[in-house]
Amino acid sequence: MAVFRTIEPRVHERMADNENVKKMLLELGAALGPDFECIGLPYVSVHDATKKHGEPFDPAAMKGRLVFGGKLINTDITHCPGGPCRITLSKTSDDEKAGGRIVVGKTDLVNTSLVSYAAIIIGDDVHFEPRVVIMDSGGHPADRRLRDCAENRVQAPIIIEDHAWIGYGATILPGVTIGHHAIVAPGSVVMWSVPPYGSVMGNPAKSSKVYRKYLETQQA
Amino acid sequence: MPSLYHIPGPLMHQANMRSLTMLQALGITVRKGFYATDLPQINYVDLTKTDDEPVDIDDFRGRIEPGNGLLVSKQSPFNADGLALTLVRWGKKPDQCGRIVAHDSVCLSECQITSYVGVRIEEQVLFGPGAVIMDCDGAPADPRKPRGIDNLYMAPVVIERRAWIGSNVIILPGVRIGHHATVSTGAVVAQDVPPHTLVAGNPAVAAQRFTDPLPDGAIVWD
Repeated sequence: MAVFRTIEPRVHERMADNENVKKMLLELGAALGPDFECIGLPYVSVHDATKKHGEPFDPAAMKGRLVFGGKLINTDITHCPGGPCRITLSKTSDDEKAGGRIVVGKTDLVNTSLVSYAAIIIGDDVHFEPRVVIMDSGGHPADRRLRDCAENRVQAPIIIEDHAWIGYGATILPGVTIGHHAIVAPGSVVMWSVPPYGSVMGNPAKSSKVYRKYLETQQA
Repeated sequence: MPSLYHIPGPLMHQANMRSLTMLQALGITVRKGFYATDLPQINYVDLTKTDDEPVDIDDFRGRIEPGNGLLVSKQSPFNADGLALTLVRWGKKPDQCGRIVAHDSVCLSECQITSYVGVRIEEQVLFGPGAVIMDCDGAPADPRKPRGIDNLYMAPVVIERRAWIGSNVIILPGVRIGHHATVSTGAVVAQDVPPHTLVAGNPAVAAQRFTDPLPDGAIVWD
């Protein structure tokens, strides 16, 4: 395949970025797959909420909370606006199974924003279009009479199963499970779980006759 | 406050100083404790002048009152398009011009506000990144009508105290968002939101009401 682009990332810069980011992620105790590669610089913000104010940040305490099996693509390589992958993780408890964790299988993340207070689990071979937002907590209580503190925060893990397809700019909200081979249309805001082989569209994302028909014509 | 680990670390203080200088030059007075993470984009549009005439900053002086903070870009967890505040002057009279007022304890984070008549954001309103607020569409809704000031629908937008505007929300002209209301991610708000209500979707509809008494021991805002 031959591609011409006006902005081609320079090879040596790409290599240097890749090595630097790899080093930094490994320092944070991340597990990186054999195919891991970073194209451009991601935005990584890691929070340790189990520590008190003024205590120094300890990267070793973050061990095993970030797992990337595929690539992180942070540059505008597609026909539409991209931006860096934005990985925001808040360690909210010492419990190994909860409290901020991002696990990505053999899947490339393209300009994806991930915010994790509970857990985000992404399977193998999920097709991400650019600018997807995945957040497992809104960060504040929905009832605005309550104070913004950890006790009031609503959080629920997100699971995206193998071979799912997430369209451009879709947003996935807390507690959603997207089944294997499911399709989420571009620009959808997914509030409810999607069954395996299902397809959803819109805000809020629902199974839609129009979209199913559209997908059928694509396959014909 | 927990510890932070950023790649890459922005030079916050420098950016803050530069944006303060810029805002002062543009006739914008800031509140106590103001900070900005980068240079905001401020647009002044004067429809009463021809393309060749320069914009007079005095015509717009004091029409923007930012809250206590501006999160401009590169700081939020999502890829938003940066902060832009646009004022439009469409007549010679002093009040024929946009106005953006944010009260205390408001941080405008990467939102894009366009004002022809007035946008008011009250105390403790919380913004997610990428919100778009406009009090006029800039073109008549009926495409057969000629484009011009007389055919525009302008209506002020009010966001009452302690509301929460989620990320990538779009708020259309004339909408009033009640106090303690929550607007969910990606919602497009076309009608008024009652107080203490969660709205979601496109178009935004009420999904939940928070009017029941809170359980004992709930940690509430004073």
